[in-house]
Order: sequence, then C-alpha cells, then structure tokens
Amino acid sequence: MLKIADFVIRNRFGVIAFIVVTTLLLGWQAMKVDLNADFSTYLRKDDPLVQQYNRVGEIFGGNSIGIALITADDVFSKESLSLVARLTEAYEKMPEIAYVTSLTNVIDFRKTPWGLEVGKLLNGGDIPQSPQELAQLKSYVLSKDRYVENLVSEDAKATAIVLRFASTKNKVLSHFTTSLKIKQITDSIIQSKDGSRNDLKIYFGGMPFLIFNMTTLITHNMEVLVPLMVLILVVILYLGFRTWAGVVLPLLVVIISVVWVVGFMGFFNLKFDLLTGIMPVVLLALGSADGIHLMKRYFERRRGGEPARDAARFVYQEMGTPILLTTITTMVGFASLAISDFTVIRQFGLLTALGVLLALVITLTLLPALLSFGIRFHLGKAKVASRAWLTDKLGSFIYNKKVAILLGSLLIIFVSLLAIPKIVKDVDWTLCLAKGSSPYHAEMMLREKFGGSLPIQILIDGDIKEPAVLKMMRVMERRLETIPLVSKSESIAGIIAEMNYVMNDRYVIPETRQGVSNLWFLIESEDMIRQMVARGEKEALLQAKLDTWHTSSLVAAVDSINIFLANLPKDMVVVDLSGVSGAVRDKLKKLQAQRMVENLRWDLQKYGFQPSSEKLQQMVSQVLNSKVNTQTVRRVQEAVTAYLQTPEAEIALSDIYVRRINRDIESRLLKQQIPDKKELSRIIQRQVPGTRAKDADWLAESLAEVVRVAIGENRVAPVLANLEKKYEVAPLKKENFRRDIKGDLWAANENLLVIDALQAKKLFTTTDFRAYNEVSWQFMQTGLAPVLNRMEEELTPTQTESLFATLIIVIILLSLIFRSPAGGLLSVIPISITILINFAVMGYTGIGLDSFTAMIASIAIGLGIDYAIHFVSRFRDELKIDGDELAALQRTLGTTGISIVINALSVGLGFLALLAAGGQHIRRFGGLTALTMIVSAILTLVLLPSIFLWIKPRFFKNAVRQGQQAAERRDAEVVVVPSGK
Amino acid sequence: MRKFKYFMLVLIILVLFGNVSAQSADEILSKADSVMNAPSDMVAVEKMILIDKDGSRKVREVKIYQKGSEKRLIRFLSPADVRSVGFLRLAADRLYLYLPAFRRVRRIASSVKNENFMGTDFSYEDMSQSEYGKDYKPKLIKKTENQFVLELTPRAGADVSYGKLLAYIDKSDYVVRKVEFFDTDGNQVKILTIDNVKKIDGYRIGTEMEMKTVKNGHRTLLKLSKIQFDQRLKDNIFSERNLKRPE
Repeated sequence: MLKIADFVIRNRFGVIAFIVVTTLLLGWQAMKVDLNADFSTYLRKDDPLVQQYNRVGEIFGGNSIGIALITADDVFSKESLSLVARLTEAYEKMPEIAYVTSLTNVIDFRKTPWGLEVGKLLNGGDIPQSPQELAQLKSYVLSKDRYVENLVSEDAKATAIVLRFASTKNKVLSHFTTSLKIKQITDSIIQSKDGSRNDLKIYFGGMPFLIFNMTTLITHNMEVLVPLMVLILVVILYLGFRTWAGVVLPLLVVIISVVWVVGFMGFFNLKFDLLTGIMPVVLLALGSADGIHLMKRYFERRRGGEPARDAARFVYQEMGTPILLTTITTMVGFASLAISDFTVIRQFGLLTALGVLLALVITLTLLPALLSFGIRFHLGKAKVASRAWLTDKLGSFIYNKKVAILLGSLLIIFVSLLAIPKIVKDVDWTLCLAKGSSPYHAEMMLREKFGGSLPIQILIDGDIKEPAVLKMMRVMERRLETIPLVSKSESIAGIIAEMNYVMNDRYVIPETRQGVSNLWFLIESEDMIRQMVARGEKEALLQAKLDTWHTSSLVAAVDSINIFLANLPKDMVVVDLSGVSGAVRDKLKKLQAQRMVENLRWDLQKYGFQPSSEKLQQMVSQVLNSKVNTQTVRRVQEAVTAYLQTPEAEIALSDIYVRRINRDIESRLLKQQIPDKKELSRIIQRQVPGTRAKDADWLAESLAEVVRVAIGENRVAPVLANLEKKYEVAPLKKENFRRDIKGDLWAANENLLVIDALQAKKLFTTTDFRAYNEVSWQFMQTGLAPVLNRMEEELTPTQTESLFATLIIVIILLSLIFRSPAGGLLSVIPISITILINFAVMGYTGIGLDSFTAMIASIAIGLGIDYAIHFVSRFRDELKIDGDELAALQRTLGTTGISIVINALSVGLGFLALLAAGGQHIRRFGGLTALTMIVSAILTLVLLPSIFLWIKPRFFKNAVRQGQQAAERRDAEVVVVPSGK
Repeated sequence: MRKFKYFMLVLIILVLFGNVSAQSADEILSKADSVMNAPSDMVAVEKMILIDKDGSRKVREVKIYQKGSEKRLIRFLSPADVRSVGFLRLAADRLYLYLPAFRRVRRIASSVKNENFMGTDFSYEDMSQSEYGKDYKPKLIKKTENQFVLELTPRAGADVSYGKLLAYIDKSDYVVRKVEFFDTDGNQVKILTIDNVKKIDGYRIGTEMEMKTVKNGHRTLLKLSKIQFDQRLKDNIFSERNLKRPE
C-alpha cells in the first residue's frame, strides 16, 4: 500500500492529468447513453416466453397497444364524436401506428331489414347530427358488447381510441417519439377552434404511453435527484468536517466515478432503465464513504501536526486495507444481484459494483495526490471536545448496559419475526406511475371503465378456418370470461359467430368450412382481422383484458388460464353424429349435453347468474329430446312458403305448388321424418310436374336448409323463452343475453361434435373411422401477463439466493480479515438484524416485496457490513493500545464511530432523496434503504460492541491481552525513565 | 391606352385557351368513358391475385358478366371454399351478395361502397365505377408525350368517397392507364395501373390491372381472360335467382 501511495504522490501531476483526461473522454461517452423504460425488455431475451411475446408482436402487427381516452359528459355528442373522428383520421395517417380502432372506424355487423351490413359503425366518419340519431347510435353501441368496455364505457362518459403501435427494432425510442408525436397531433387538433369543448378531456394509457411516462420519469429523476443528492452531501460533509476541503474532495471523487460509470455505459451501448436511472444517485451516496473515512483519518493526523505529504502517505497505509475490504464487500453486495433473471436488476447490480470499484480507484489515486499538496483547515477544538463527551457517554452506556442492549435487541428480533409472514409478495406495476399523471388517470379509468389495460393473449396454431378449431376458440372465449378480473375475450371465432348471428340469427360457428369461409370472405381485408389472424390463417390470437397490474391477482389469473389450457385436447376429432348409432351415439349425445350445460353455465356466469347444474341439465335435455309437433310443422311450412315467395327461390312457383310441397313435407314431419335434400328433390319433382331433376335438386338444397333451420328454431324456442323469463338482465343487455343463450342451445341442432382424440379412441372401433375427422391444433398463453408472471416467479428465488450468497461471502471475508470465524459470524449480526427490521417494516406497513424492495437486503449487506469492518478494525486496534475495553470503545466511537455516523447520514439521506423521485416504487425503495442504513449504523455502534463485550470472542481477548501487555510495557518504561534520571 | 390593349390581349388569350383546355378535358374523359363502356356487354374470366406487403399471395378466379354500365354479376369459381359466392349489382344502391354455405341472397347496404370488395384492394365503389364523367369533373393538368393527365374532382352531389382522382389516359386510344386516388384531405390512398391493353372484337381493353393500397402496401392484381363482347346477355342473368345458380 505504501508503495502505491509513494508512487501516486511522486507522480501526482501525472495522476491528476490522467484522471482529468479519462473523465473528459468518458464524459463524452456518457452523453450518448439512451433511456429504456420498456419493462418487457427487462427479462432475459432467450426466455421462450419473451421470445414468443416478441414474435406475436411482429406477426400480429405490434403488441404495444396504446389507448387515447376521451372523456365527456356524454361521448355520444356531435363534438365528442367529431373529435374522435378527427383524431382517428390523424392517427391513421401516422406510419408509426399500424392500426387504429375507434367508434368512428370500427367494423360493424349490422342487421338490416333486408339482410346484413358489413361496414364501419360510422360510415366514412359521418357523425349523426340530430339528437335522435345520436340517441339511436348510443343505444345501438351500448347494446353491443364488442364495443362496450372496449371502445366506450358503459356510462357513455368515456370513449377509447385503440392504437396498435407498429413493430420496430428500436421499440423504446420509437415508442417514445411516436407517443410524443401522438400527443402533439392531439394537442393541435384539440386546440383548433372547432374541436374545443370544456368537458372534453384526453388521457393516454397503455403500454407505450407507460413507457413514455417512465422515460420522462427517469430523466426527471436524474435531473432532480442528482443535484439534490449533491446538495445533501455538501451539507453533511461540511457538518462532519467543517472544512471545504472535506466537502470538495470526497464529492469530486464520487462525481468523477459517476461520470466514469456512465461513460462505460455509453461505451458498451448500455441504456438507463427504471433502476439504472437511479444508479448515479446511489453511487453519489456510496462512493463518498471511502473518501469520508480517508479524509477523517487525514485530518486526525494533520491535527497531530503531521505534514500534508506524510499524512497523505500514512493515511493511505492505515486506511488502505479497510477501504479495500469495505469496497470488496459493497461490490459483493451489488454484484450478487447479477444472478437475477431481471436484466434490469443485473445491470443495476453490476454497474453499481463497477461504480464502487471506480470510486475506490479514484479515492486511492486522486485523493492522496491532491491531499499531498496540503490543505488549510480549522481545528475546531470545541466541537471535537463536545463530540468526545458525547461518544464517551455513549461508550460508558454501552459498556454498562450491554446485557440490556442485548435483551432489547432480542425483543426487536422477536417483534420483527412476527411481521415476516405478513409480507405481501405483490407488485402493483402501476406504482411505477406518478400519481396524478395522465397515464395514472388513464390507467385508473381503464381499470374502472374498460376492464383493465393488461392484455391476456392465447396464441392458437392450426387451421384457423377449420370449424372445430373455431368452436374450441369459442369455448376458450367463454371460459376466460369466468376467470376473476378477466373480461372482453375476443378472437376471430367470436367475430365469425357474430357475423353468423347477424346473418342467420345464430351465435355459433358454422358447421362447415364453407360456412366459415363465406363469412370470413366478407371481412378478410379488414384491419381487425390482421390483428387477429396471421401466417396465412395458420395462427390466431385470442385476446382478453385483465383488470389488474397486481402481481398476486395476475399470477392467479395466468395460472387459472394455464390450468384450463392444460386440460384442453391437443388432438381433436370431429364426429358426425348422423354417422354413428347405438351405444356410441348415446355416449356422444351425453357428451354433447355436458358441453351444452358447461357453455350455458359459463355464459350465465358472465351475466352474473349462478344456475344449478340440475336445472341446466333439465333444460338441455328438453332441447335435445324435443320432438316434431304440430307447431314445428306450422313453423316449417311458414318458412318454406316465405322462401318460395322470394325472388331468390331457385324456381318460381305458384301458390298451388307451394301448398302441395308443404303438404308433402308435413306428412313426413308428422312421422318424425325430417326430409333431407334428396327427399325434398323427390317431393318437388312429384308435386311440380315437368320440373327438371337438376332444377329440383337446386331448389331442394335450399329448402333442406330452410327446413333444418325452422326445426332448429322450434327446438330451442321454448327453453330460450323460459331462460329469458327466469334470468332478468338489464334492457341494454337483453339482446346479447338472448344471442349468447340461444347460441349455446343451438348446439342441439348440430350434427358435428368436437371431442378429444383420446376419448374418441376409447369410443370408436376401426369400422367407425369414416364418421370422424382428426384435427390438430396447438395453443399457449402469451402476451405481457405471463411475462410479468415469469418475473414474479423468478423474483423471490433469485433474491433469496442473492441474499444468502452475499451473507456467506461476507462471513468468509470477515473471518479472514479478523483471522477469527467467530469474529466474522458475530460481525454480521447487526446487518442481519437490520435486514430483519427492513422486512418487518415491509410486513407491518404493507409494502409489497417487488423487484425494487427485494434488492434492499443485498444492498444493505454490502453497505452495512462496511460499518462493521471499520468498527471492528478500529476497536481491535484501540484495544491493542492499552487493553482497556471502555477506553478503547470510547476512542473507537469518537473516531471511526463519527465517520460511520457521517457516512450513514450521507448514504441514508442520499437514499432518502429518492423520496423526491417520481414513481412510488422508487420512493419506497429509497425510504427503506435509508432506514436500513441508519439502523445498520446504530446497531453497529451499539449492539456490536455489546456482543463483543459480553461474549468476548478469542480475537477480542487476544487484542485485550496484547493491549494490557503493551500498557504494562509502557508503564514499565515510565517507571524506568525517572529512575534513570 | 396601350396598357389596356395589352391587358385585353392577355385576357382574350386566357379566356380562349382556358376554355379550350376545359373543353378538351371533358372531351378526353368522355372519350375515355365511352371506350370503357363501348361494348354492350361482356363476359370474362378474371384471376384475382391478392398480394400482401410481405409477398404472400392468394389467388382467386371469378367469372364476370357485365351489361351496360350498371349491371354486373361476379361469381367466384375458385378456390373451393368460396366457389359460387356471388355478387350482383343492379344499380349503385342495389347490391346483392350470395353466400352458398347459407343458401341465401342478402342485400348489401349501399353505405358499404367504400369497403373493400371481397378482400381485394378494390372497394365496392371501385368495382362499380364505369363512367368517371358522371361523378367527376375533369381538369387537364398535364400532357405528356403519350398521356393526358386529368384531375377529377367530385361533381356537386356526387355520391363518391374520394376527394380527388388523377387519371392518366392514353392519347392514342383513350384507354385509362393509371388512376391515383386521393382522400378528402388530399392524401394518396390507392393507385390503379392498367396494363396489357389489347384489341378484342374491335374494342380496346386493359387486360391486367393492379390496385395498390398505399398505407398497408397490399396489392390486388386482376388478369382478364376469355373475354367475350356483345354476347346479348339477357336481363334475367342479372337476377337474385341467377345469382344462386352454380357456374
């Protein structure tokens, strides 16, 4: 050490020049460091979930969904809708936005008196002008569940414009600039004369805007916290040293080390994220520690009259080793965060460790170089005296009351342990938002009025146009909505069912591929479809919303979905019920009934009803076992007559032929025979002489469908009416309720049943093979929710591992330093209790264990153990002087004790400065870390000596013995000298 | 006085040439429209190739029956899952759709005219447009060696959704070779190019068309074949009943 000191002091000009040049170069690199607030990038990129999440984003046109929320007294006003139209149009023109969906451009399937209309809800952005038209639009929109809570709130006081950000390579930068552009465009539109109205307000929510907000937050944090931290350091250093050199020099060291670390970040192309954003503040607090101890010793020696150059040199010799050791322990504390799977925590840990190392290098080079020039300072004797009095008192107190202190500590441990089970492992990610900010408002509104903002996604891989796959997707849609906090499930299956409903009054997936394709055909070029189906109709995305950002409920939802998915068959078979008979058919019918009961239950649950299984089974069996009766015949005849009278009927027939055909059909129906197309062709040819077979076949095909539908309608009608009577829903929901329930009951009219292939193998013999088709598909949960879930899963194990790793390394280090395993073990007691107290505070105050609070323990060890090292080293040294336990303690407290207090105050207040940070999570982190620093210092100064004094470990006794021997030698010398005179 | 003479001269030139140019724009468009609508009817097979931005393709084949500028019947021949899907236009506000899976003809609201037709980049309006002069007022903005470039703006009361068109018309045969479509804010939304102009039965017709949607880069290529003109198609071909008849 002394050699290095001599080298530094000898070459002090060169050392200073080198540091200045390096600082300039790295400072230039530091200017290039970008920001990254996208927390989806915080997990390892090679994680399959993260890879899938990114892939989904690429193939479905971006997975970042931003939402512009417009609130008004009533959004169904000319002004609000015009604003929505203008904003929609403006956003649509932005190349950075892949898709825009709002009330003014959403695709709508509307029943009209003469058919269906597939078009925009507000065609061409035409806004209704009269109050009646607006009221009509309002009641229409509020009756459609695809719009309610997706594009408009149920109370019509808020409407959403959903913006799907285009997928780009530099997501963060593009999200930031796109969000900024959106805000600028919005502002310019609002400020234009015709768009202004007092009650209209716009908020921006969703992932990209969260990122935007957090990026500004990181910048804000750095702009506010760094100067604040510097100010705090200046005050504390001045109070501690009462000299400007004591302020400037340690400050210079930390500022230079911060510049160097950020410079390295620029050099390695690393970015500031939510956590690394506070790293400069943490470094300012930490990096000053070594400087403080070094300066303290330097001033002690100067007060003893030593020349500057010698003081600098010897301080180096005395303090070098403890400083080196404390730096190593601090680095271990932070570097242990590297085992985390969170890139953000890893980066924070490693960079802070690097910063601490650089601070040491600068402390050991720049400080001696500068100190060797000599510094003027006041001795401030009065203060020193008062401090000595205080530390002497404290020393006596500890010495006399050590047992009481130990018992008190045991009590604290006991009380703290009681709080451990109370710690909630729950992160509310929206805590990252500053309360009162626009995204915070938007987030709260999305939670209250739009079913949340966190998308749940299930990726389906298979032949998406296959009705069996779509039917199973409908099962998923229904089931998802029964999971707490999950709502608004949506996929191509729901869209196809809705179109079928609008066109044919049946909210079901058509049974044939042709039926699916025909409906699909009408919408395939729509933006909406591109967001739901990709890769040539081989992949589909089913989305729902999760109304929480709390990890505990998020984990519960993600787990429920995964359990449900795990029970779905991967290989399915589609069985044609008309092709099987006997016992197999009976079993299949039973399965069909079970499926219907399940679907009915889920749909009724969606509307808040909890029906009994028995009742549902009764109703389903009533539908399944319904027989053709006179009412059925009448309904069929009416349908046939109506069809034959339309201009689309394949053959124009006079009334007399229509009646004849009807009579023939009636006779069959009354015998419980449902005529198929062959039979109907024969009926037509028989009843309408001269009809060509080809034409009869042509008409019969349509008539068969007419007859099938009429019988089906008659089958479900009584039970449907019964259910509608029994379960009363709000008027606006009546149509949807009817649609859903009828869709569930309609399954009784279907011949194709989708079952698990394994089940099919048990049911069928090889001869039945022609009765079914095999269908394979795959599915997995993807999206941000499982990514956040993964973060949650990995959080506690890695943090616990990190904590234990740090503790063990520290114990080994201390055992080596003190050459005593007992010394090592005992020295970690204060910091262990500090960590316990930290968790107890979290338990009692309800602060959740999140990625930030989980780091505190590791950091606390790294920082707090420094106090133990400095304290024990000094205490041992003091004991070796005279072996007087009390005097040694008092001297330790009066010297190193003061440094520890100054250090704890500067570091503690530094972290306390984070209370001024935007983002509640950083505030909590700052407050708790500050607390641990202060607690750790107090315990080190009070509890640690009590333990040593009470237990008296061997190294302690040795030091006392050495001190006593030295004192005896001195006494002997004192006796000898006068006698010599 | 001398100044006044010059002024009059300039005025006369302006009025004269301005008038000539307006007349010629109307004439050009009228000729182009008449070239387009010259045959009394047409039957053809059309291959539709839908090309996504990433290059993925979907190919469809339809048969087209056209009579005059109003009546048109389009029936899909392939792929199998959309075979027999039919579209019938009797007038601008009388559009019908036949989906064979449900065996029912449904009328489509005329308000869907600016929606895309069956996944192509052509809207129902584009598919129905046969006489530009009826809906648009032309202005000759440029003459190149081979083409007239007309700027078409909607006539008062015309039920069209574009704000402006730029039509490139071949000087030699008055066949429209390219149309650029702009929205009401003046942004280019689609580009139609017409190629491979052939003379069939004495009529000139572009047998290849490409419509490109500017924002998403999606394209639709139409290739006409088996073109027959003046087949004396009966009116009952353009009926709901016939719409359902398989090809």
